[in-house]
Amino acid sequence: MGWGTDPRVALVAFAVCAAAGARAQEDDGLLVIKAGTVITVSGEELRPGVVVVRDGRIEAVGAKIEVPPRARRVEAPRGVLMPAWIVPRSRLGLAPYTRTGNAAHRSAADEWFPRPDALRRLRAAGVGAVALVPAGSGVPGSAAVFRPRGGAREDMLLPGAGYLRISFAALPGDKRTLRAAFRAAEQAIEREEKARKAFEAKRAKEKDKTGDKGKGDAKGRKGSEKKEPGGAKGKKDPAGKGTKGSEGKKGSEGKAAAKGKKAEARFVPPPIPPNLRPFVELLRSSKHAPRLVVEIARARDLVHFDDGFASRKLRPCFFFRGGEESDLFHAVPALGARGATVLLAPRISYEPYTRTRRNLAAELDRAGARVGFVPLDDTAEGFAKHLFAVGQLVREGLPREVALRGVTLVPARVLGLDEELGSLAKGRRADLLLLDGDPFAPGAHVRAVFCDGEQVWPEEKRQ
Amino acid sequence: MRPTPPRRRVGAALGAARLLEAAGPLHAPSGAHARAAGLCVLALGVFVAGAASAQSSRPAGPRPSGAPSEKAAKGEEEKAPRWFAVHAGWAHTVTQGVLREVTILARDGAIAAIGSDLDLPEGTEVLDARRYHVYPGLVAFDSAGIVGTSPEDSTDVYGLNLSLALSAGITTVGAGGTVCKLTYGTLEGHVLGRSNLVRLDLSSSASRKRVREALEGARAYLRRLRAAERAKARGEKAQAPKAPRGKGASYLALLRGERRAFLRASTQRELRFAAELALRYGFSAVVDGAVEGWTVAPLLGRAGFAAVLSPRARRRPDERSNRPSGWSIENAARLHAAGVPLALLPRSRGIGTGGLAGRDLFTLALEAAFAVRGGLPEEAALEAITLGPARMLGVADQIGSLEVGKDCDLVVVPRDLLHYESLPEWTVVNGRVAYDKERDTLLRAVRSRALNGENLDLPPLWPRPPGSSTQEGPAGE
Repeated sequence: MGWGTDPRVALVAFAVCAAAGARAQEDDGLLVIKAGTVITVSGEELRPGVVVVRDGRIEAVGAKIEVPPRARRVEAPRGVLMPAWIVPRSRLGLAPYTRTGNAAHRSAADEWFPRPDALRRLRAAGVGAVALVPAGSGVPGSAAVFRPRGGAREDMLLPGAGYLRISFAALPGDKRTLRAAFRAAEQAIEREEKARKAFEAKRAKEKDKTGDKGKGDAKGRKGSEKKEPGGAKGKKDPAGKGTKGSEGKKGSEGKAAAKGKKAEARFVPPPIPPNLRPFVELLRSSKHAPRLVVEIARARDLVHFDDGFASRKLRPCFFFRGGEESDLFHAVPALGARGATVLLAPRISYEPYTRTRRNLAAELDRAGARVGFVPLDDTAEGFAKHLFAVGQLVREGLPREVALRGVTLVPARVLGLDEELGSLAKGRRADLLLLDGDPFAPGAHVRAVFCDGEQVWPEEKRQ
Repeated sequence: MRPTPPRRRVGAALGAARLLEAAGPLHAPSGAHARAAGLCVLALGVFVAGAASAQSSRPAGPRPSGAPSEKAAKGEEEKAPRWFAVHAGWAHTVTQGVLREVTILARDGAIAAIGSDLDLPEGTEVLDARRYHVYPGLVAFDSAGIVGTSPEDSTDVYGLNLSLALSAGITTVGAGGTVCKLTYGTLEGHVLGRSNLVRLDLSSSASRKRVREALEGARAYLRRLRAAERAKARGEKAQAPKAPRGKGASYLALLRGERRAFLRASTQRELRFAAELALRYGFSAVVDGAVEGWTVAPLLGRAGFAAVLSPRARRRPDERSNRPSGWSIENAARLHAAGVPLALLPRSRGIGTGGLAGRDLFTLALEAAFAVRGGLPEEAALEAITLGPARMLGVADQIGSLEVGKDCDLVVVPRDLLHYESLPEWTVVNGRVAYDKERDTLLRAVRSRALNGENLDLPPLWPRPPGSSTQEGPAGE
């Protein structure tokens, strides 16, 4: 990492800091945290390490960085600094409202009513961001991500982050809903293609008219005649749309004839219903396509998902909604082979009807999947036990690095925030967590939590 | 080095030639296998007679999985075929008797060849069952709770009931209007077909009246249609009658013989009514129940009925009647003798774990054994849990027997399937091992292969000779 290793950069940093320090007596924008251990997640662990924060973002991470004397300092020679951890799925503070069918245009943000005391608890637990999901089966809508900083509701929400939640645990309904959504989206695309073709044909015809009147007219007519039977053949409903399109054509033709030369009209695609738009983007694999998290409760759900949608090449993340007894171990090889990201609660589950213990997270990791963790207990109090619960899996065979990534970087990536949160590197938001021991050690406590470089917990103790 | 896989129709002939070859080294009838060998001799006779007609009896249409040469013609980009082979000590083909020491080779889940001296293509998954009996996978005419309500969208392919059914040797079940393969862990080839049966409700006098009226309506339509056709032939102007739709259409299909009826009838009275209805209107039917079928067996045979019955289903005889009534252990045997095709089912059509000799699908083979106890020939009993129900479900061209071109659905047992000690070791569905007893949680410990090795000449478990233990080697005879 640049700052730590390259002395020239460090020098520049010093110069910058010194200049800033000269201007103001105490540089409030600059924060330096020295800790006995710095867990960067994305890079190597530093012992000891220094993190330099400016204006809420990490400016440098390194083993040794020279810093201006007037910068705000936090020194914790025996502390452990790590990025704040992320909850990739929660229903905390949401209205108990469920949906069925395809409601892809809805967002959990609209039904979120944060309670200040819950937010305080989240900060105390070291939570950096929480993804709120809409409840229900089918496609209940997209998840909204907030950071528990406090303040106005809108300020806490992170626009652009989140994912589209797809429930696939209530078969056969969920499979049918999703199939219908994709089919409708396909039809919407077809409709648009047809409208575009019709528009282009019309424009070509008009051009011909202006050039060679008689010839162009005949040609255009022929073209349109040829097109119509083809359209009627296509599918059931295009028949209705075909008549609509031709009507529109007639109308515009009449207008063009009346007005003579007119400014070139722009193609206006037929409107796509809002709940189909995400699916249209997915089918077009455009950059606006939403990230997907598919919730499955049993191994069969994955088999059914692949059966219905493997050909769509969606590459979604999966959320295991398994309980104490779970047959999801059947799905592990398939998920590992495709390198899928899987979110699950940190628990040791049992094979159904047996007392055979399974560490699914460790199995998934060995198989080649990426593992992210969702708190077992979806309450602010429960979040406080999250790191301990993940540590339990580490004691049962899950590699520690995988567990660390599973609470920070993997959830961040699922939410599309891996350039913002989840690791300690230059440019990331300074959402930090200072502990007095290893995060997975049973006796470790959160000592301080920073959000955008500001200490948000403990509140009263400002340094 | 891969031998050109035989085309299906050629394959049937090829298979036949190899079968004859294979039948050469006949197993000397001795001890426990005397019965099987006897069957084998019987099979030879049947087979020699049937070999010539084997070609014509098979459906002519090429099956997608069974036409390798067409696929090869398409180009190299086709997926490599999936080969699976079983070396069977005894292959109970159902249609062609018992074959000794044969290999069953399947390509993409369909049997490509059966023979004693087959060249296996490279990468063939081989199941060595040279000390085992191989049967076609069992077929349950009806089932509950094994596949999902809409199987293609909700079956739990890792479900407990599904794997328990597999552990009982069942590979295909009828469920509602659907016929499903028990494809463990995959949905590929899960739904085999839709049932073609028309349900007739004869339970109450009102519903009987409705059925009769509907049949009458369909018959009247056929008469009007014929009259119109005749008029047209004469050159007169005639309007064809309006074809019935919905339920009427299915009754019409019934009268035309395109579909079969399915009805519930248990007592003599109900059976008589149904048979007379079928004879009057000329349709054939599958009758479910038929507890008193033995009392009217010739009538049911004449009416062309097929029967789904539970050999252990009981009914108290009517003491006021001077005619035979009530249940009989000979029910299946008498119906079979009267030419009624059979499908055997336990009393419960689900799976229960309450006892190994229960009355649910977990003991389907045992149910057939009970019919044998009542006098049904063993071959007929075997057919009544394989090819018989397959025919009634309309999927006999794909499953139900070990024949070239049919699906590779097998159940591998250490001894006679109908023996009460028999527990399937492997069950194969579509050329994939769907169940392996050694990996099952419930039955793993019962006469375990791992504990006993491949030694199957074990002392009988029950009654145990004094001082013997089940884990000892062969006691020696």
